[in-house]
Amino acid sequence: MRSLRLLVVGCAVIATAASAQQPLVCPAPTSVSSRPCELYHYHVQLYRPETKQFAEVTGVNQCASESACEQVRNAQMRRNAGVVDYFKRVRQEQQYEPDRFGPCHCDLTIDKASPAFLTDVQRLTQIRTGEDVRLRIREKLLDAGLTSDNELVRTLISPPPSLPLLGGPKLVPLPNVGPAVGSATSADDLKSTRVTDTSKPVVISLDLPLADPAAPAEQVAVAEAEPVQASSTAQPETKEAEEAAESFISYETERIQNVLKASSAITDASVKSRIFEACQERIQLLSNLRTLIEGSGVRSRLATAARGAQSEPDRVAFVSRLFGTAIAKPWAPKDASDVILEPLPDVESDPERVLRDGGGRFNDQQKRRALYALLARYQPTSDQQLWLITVIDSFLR
Amino acid sequence: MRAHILMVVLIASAAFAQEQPAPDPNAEEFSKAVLFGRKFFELKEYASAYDQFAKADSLRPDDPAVLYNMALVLAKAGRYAEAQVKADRYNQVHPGGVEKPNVTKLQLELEFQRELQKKRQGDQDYLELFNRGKFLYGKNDIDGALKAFQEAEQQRGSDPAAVFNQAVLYEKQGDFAKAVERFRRFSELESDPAQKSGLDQRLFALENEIEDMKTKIVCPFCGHRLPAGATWCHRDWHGPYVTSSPVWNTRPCVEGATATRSTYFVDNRLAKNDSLPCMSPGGTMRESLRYTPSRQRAIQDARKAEGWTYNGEIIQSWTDKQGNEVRYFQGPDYLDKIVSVSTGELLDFEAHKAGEGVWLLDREDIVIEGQKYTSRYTYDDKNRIAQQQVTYQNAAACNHIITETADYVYQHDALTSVNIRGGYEGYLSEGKPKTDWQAAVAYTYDGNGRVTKEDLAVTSFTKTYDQRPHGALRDEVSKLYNSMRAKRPIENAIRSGDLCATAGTLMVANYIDLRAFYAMSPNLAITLPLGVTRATVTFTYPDSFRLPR
Repeated sequence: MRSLRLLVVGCAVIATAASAQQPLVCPAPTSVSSRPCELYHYHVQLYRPETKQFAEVTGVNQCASESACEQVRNAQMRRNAGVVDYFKRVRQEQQYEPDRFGPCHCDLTIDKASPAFLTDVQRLTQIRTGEDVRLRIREKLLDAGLTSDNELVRTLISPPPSLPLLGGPKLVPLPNVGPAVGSATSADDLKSTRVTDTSKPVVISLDLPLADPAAPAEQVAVAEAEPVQASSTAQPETKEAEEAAESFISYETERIQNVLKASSAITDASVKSRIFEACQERIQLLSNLRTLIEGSGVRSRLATAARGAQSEPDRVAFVSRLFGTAIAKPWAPKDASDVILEPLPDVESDPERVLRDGGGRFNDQQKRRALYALLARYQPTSDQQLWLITVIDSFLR
Repeated sequence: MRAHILMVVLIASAAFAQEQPAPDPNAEEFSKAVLFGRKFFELKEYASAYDQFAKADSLRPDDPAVLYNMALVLAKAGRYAEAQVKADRYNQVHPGGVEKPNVTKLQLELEFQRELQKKRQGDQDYLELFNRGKFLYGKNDIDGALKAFQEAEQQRGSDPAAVFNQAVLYEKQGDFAKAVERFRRFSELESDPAQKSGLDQRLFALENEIEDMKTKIVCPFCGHRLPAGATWCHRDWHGPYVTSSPVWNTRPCVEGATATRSTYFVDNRLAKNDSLPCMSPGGTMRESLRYTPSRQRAIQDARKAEGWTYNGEIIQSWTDKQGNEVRYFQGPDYLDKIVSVSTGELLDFEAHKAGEGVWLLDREDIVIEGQKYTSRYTYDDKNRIAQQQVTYQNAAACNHIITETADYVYQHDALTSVNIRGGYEGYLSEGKPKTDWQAAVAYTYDGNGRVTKEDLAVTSFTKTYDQRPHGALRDEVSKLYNSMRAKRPIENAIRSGDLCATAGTLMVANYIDLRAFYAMSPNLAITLPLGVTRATVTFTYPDSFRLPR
């Protein structure tokens, strides 16, 4: 009987030694996997006090990160050390062995190609084995006189750490949705109005000459003479050109003043505003046109045409030759709102460029419209005036 | 005769003297001032020109030409009111003066300038109104900005910018229908193609949003857009969002709606009454979860404030200041797994497609109060849950591996009952106890298809030890069940519950845990306290409350 006991003890020692030599890691995979490790675990040989054997479990300590695996392993080792210490130191059971823990490594028990792979049944069997060992230790601790609420007994079951966030409700309440706008607002989101153009200077484009005071005795006589003389010092030819300009420009100025008067009856502020804009531009244009007529010389095509434009059809024909056929209706509007020109952004944005275009990008009508835009919106310099006289001359040719 | 001749000469001389005006002592100064005035005028130095003409006027007051010239240079200098005074003076003193035609023209011009000033003032007012709108927008005062641009449109109905800005503001408010209408109006008003670039894409996006608002819901956890028929959000596996289900419309947040849960012990004694809080603000679950961009943004903002990150509309990860990190591994179609880096937890999901944008879980891991469960689902031909099987190792008690199965029974379109069974087989060391229980959940509906009552009853509960455990465990089991006999069911186990260990004077037990059946009902996914075998939830609704079709 004694020899049998010795044999059992001997076998146990051999088994222990054999198991102690095991590496406690999953066997190396047969093929190199390119996938990153999804799970980490550690092998542990659990000491069974009733048989003094070890039972290895490999499929119960899975962790998603190596660091978490190390934490779980260390916690389990601490708990086991407490139990071992109790039996060895307090209970004087020197033969009580600690559990053997392998290192944390990539878990190949989930890899079907690995010899370490565990089926669900095998994994379940390992869980049950581990729980049986735990209950045996519990039994032994209680047998030793510890109460069931003793820390050593109680911590035999230690739930794995859990992040409360993961255990949040599956149906969460909606956050308060206020009427306020969530996204930031940027000034670039909105467009700026182009209806008003305050960049244009409010400069009077009045085209009237100064008057020369007469000697006191002459005043009455002069009062009965012809209207205002522009400049007594003007040369005869210049004077003729001025007259040509005056005859055309003054008539057209009155026309545009009449348009302005008529526009007072319009109630739509927006339309009224556009009429004002158009009239203001026309007055500017007439002022510039006067300068060009006077500057072009009495025998120039421009002065001749201006002088010859006496009747209404002649006037409209004259401006149509200058500014294109589309100008006829706005030039002599039957209704105040007719004075508004349809915008042509391509032409009006840079009229000088259009007029100077030699590549055929703009047609003749577009160029004439550009002339209108240029004279209506800008005050040409002396150089520009000379150039414009040439341009106009070519239009009237 | 000589005297007579002398007299005549004297008289003639006197007469001649009367006809010849006295020489003007200021004539030279006057002429100089007029000349200088003219020179300054030619140089367009109107202020100086005026000074010279004013000097001339002082030397020879009310000279018609000087009056006219003063009026003209004042007008040229932009001093229209003063110009008008001079023109008026001219008309008063020289109504038939030689400069009259020019004065008339000048007056017309002055009148025009007055009109122009009025218009400019109107423009300025309009611009200020417009800028106020933009300022308010910058301050995120959308209502105020909208009012400003609406007022601007009333003033200048043809200004496309005012209409465009209204559209932007409606878009910000989430009123996409109005935004679309305004953008279309802008397109009509605006003639410049450059100003309309990108408008078509914007309208297309808005119309898509409008369609989504009609047909989609939003996941209240991550804000992902889901088809109204989706059960779960496949990007975070929150849910269920069975918006048409009467069971999931039992707790609307409307006046007159109540939900009261009463639990009873096996002898019908009342254990507890719970008034369940409402769940669906605005009425039905469909309404409360209806997709709107602002709702989606609010959800995403709330999550981001909690530390979540997104890739577009898809939630990705979470971190906190303590170094905890949760990663969502998003597959091409749905969330594959969730990993908590610090605790090492891993939640796996498997799903299949059940429609456009609709994914149904085949397997999921969930954690409820630190306890991990694994569920497997099967579905009927209408994609309703037919069965749910749950397994978990009960770390809160004795580490038993517990299995629970719920079978869903439908009649027509309504869930009528759920039959649940659960149990486990314990470990050898503790005597291999085997516990089995069954429960049934039954639903009662009113004439409007609303759930009026939800009854849960534990219909059976047995626990049998296969053998007596050894040593101290035997003593412990005796404390749990003093009448325990091997291979014989524990008497009155349904009353005492499934006790599995002691902790000092406390008893540790496996509760009937229905929490993993969260997709069954929001009202009975609970853990039953020991000895409690029945739960009844009664519902009331206002008459007007109707389920979504």
